[in-house]
Amino acid sequence: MPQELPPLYPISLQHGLLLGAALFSIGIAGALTRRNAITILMSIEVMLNGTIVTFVTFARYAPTADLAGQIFSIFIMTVAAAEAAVGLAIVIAVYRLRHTVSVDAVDTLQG
Amino acid sequence: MIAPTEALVAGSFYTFAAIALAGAIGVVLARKVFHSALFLVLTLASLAATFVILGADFLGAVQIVIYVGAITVLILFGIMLTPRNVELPESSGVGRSTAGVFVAAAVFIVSTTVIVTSQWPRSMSTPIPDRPTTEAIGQGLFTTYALPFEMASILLLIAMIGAIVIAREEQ
Amino acid sequence: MNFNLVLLMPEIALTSAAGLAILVDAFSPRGLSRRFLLWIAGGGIAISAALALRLLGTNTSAFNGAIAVDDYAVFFKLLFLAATLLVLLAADTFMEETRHRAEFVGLLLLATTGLMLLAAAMDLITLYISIEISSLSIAFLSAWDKRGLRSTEAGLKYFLLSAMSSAVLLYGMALLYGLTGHTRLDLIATQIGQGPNAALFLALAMLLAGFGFKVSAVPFQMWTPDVYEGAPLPITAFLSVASKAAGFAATVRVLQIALPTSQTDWTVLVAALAAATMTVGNIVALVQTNMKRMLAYSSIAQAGYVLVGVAAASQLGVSAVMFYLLAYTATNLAAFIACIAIFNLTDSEQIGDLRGLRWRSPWLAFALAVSLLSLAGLPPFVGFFAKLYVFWAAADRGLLWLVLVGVVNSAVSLYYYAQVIHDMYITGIGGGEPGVGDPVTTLGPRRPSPGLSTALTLAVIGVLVFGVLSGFFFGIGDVAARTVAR
Repeated sequence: MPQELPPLYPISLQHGLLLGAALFSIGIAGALTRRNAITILMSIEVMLNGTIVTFVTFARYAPTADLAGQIFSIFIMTVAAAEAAVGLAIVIAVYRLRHTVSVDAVDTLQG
Repeated sequence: MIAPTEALVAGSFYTFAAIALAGAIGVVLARKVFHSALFLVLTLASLAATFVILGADFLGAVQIVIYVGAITVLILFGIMLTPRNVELPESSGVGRSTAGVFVAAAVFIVSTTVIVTSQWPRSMSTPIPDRPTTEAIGQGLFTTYALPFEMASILLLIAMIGAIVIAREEQ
Repeated sequence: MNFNLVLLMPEIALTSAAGLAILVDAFSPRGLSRRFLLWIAGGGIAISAALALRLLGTNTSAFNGAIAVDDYAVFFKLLFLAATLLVLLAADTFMEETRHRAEFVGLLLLATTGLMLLAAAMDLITLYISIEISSLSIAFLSAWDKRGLRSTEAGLKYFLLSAMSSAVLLYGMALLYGLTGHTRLDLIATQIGQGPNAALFLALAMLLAGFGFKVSAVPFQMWTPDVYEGAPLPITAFLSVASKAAGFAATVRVLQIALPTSQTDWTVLVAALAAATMTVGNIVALVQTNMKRMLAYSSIAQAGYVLVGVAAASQLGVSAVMFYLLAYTATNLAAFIACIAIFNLTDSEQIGDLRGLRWRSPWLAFALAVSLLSLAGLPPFVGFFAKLYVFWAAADRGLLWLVLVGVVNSAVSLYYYAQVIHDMYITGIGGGEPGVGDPVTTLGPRRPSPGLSTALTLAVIGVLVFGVLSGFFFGIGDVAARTVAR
């Protein structure tokens, strides 16, 4: 049974969650359809932001008022920073191998 | 009846949400990586505003500092250091346009349907009143969540050591 | 507040060993020798294992319920430590050729720390961060061979797909948090309502998708063959046993402790995953010609058998899963370590090039044959008993169709495992005698190093001993399973 549409103010639980779900889905679309490694990384950041919005919205409405959702979000951001560093380091390593003339690169192309 | 200030707050939430969504679509659709990165900044910054409206003031500030400040700068560096795109082969499970769009659409339809039709607990119909969150988050990080906090330091150590080894040019 | 550091000592010891290896190497003028690094790492692992053993029977939770210190966690910690030790010994030859050895060892130990915390995590935040600790370090380790494009690309693929899957996992966690207001598994269980709930089902599906990636269950397995093929072989071995076992350890803990009330829902989902994983893994393995890819698909299929035990959702099921993971760790390590030695010898990864191996290297051929027979599930090897327990647990819960799928799959798998053994033992050019055209007669000079031989011997002994004493080891798992299963 669909419930009655919630009011615009205060920002209702559903509207916050819908924003999160939309961001998450857009991120999935980008991560699965794009082939550029850095664009995929950015799409994953969009997915992570979708989950952060979901956590923050839930933290506002959660039956327990201990802010666990907001603290979880801070951890997600920390991990996202580490992930960006890891991802870009590996991207640079791949780039260096692909775009320099070396024996190894030629070998891989052949087999 | 909605009071004028409330209307203003609600209006700005929906405006920022719309900007964030538009930016996210831009990230995914932009032809050039650099444009994607700019759209990402737009999304991340407007999300910081929505966090503040949703009662997470400290998180909004952290979002600006970490995401808009650190992560996007890192990504821009990555883009500048790799003038030609680093593409993944199709066999890796990415880059299959139709399948990807289908999966994303399925996730969107299922999650929005669940969100709208679910019976959320009755206690969740009214929000917790706004209050300063900085102190509570600080308390939490050093008491209840002390272990994950320490584990995050291991994670950053790994990222640092690994990035130096992997990205460094060898002679 | 319970900040009792004694409960965290195994992880602290391992992290310290990693830090010590990296720091001493950085400040010593010519860098540490391979032997010295192995001593530091081995010492750290031994101390960590001893400290973990002392925690047996503690059965409490620490740091405000962030981690559990129970027999279930200790069992997995010891398993990961043993696997890491064997991988380190087997990485002997690889470390000789690579630079930044100290960082390699350090990251491997930190990855193990992450896995140990993952098996113990009682809180969604701890769970998430420990997953990231292990997968980010594994992404680096897969890319470690920087001169080879295959290795760096493997690292990139693993990184991107694992980041995507943890975002999916996080969305599931967010829904779980929203439904209950808690991030602690035991508190989630108290708040979760009875009866069908669409949001809960979505959360469950997202969590299983995230964990499915970690254990490479179909349809989240697409990264597995490429990464297994491209990563350095010791890392592939680590990925295929320790990382997979940790994924299962966390899956079982979350399902058993946080979601016991929606058991009927997740039994259906996990059973479907199990059937798909076994079938796809085995069928694709049939047509592989590259040994690494064959083992990759074989390890996908093996994950399917473990999922059968997870679907059984009883205490018997949990102990069967634990025993299966013990058996699989020993067996798959033996297979991969034998492959490292064989590839060093023959310089080829093709299954066809194993022909006549028994003439050149009877011991390696024997070790590989034993491990493949155990993977196929033939008695008297440990793989047989592992499958027996898993199928028994599923039959006990009335999942007879799943047992049937499993048995048919085991029969199919016999074909490709036996093919390799046939090549090694029976096919030989000129009626069994090693001839001139025999691929294995053109050997490289690289004999197995002492570390590699030790690791292989230990793994094969594990396969044989766990098989002979299967009742005893199953009993250990059974006692430990009581700390998580309802």
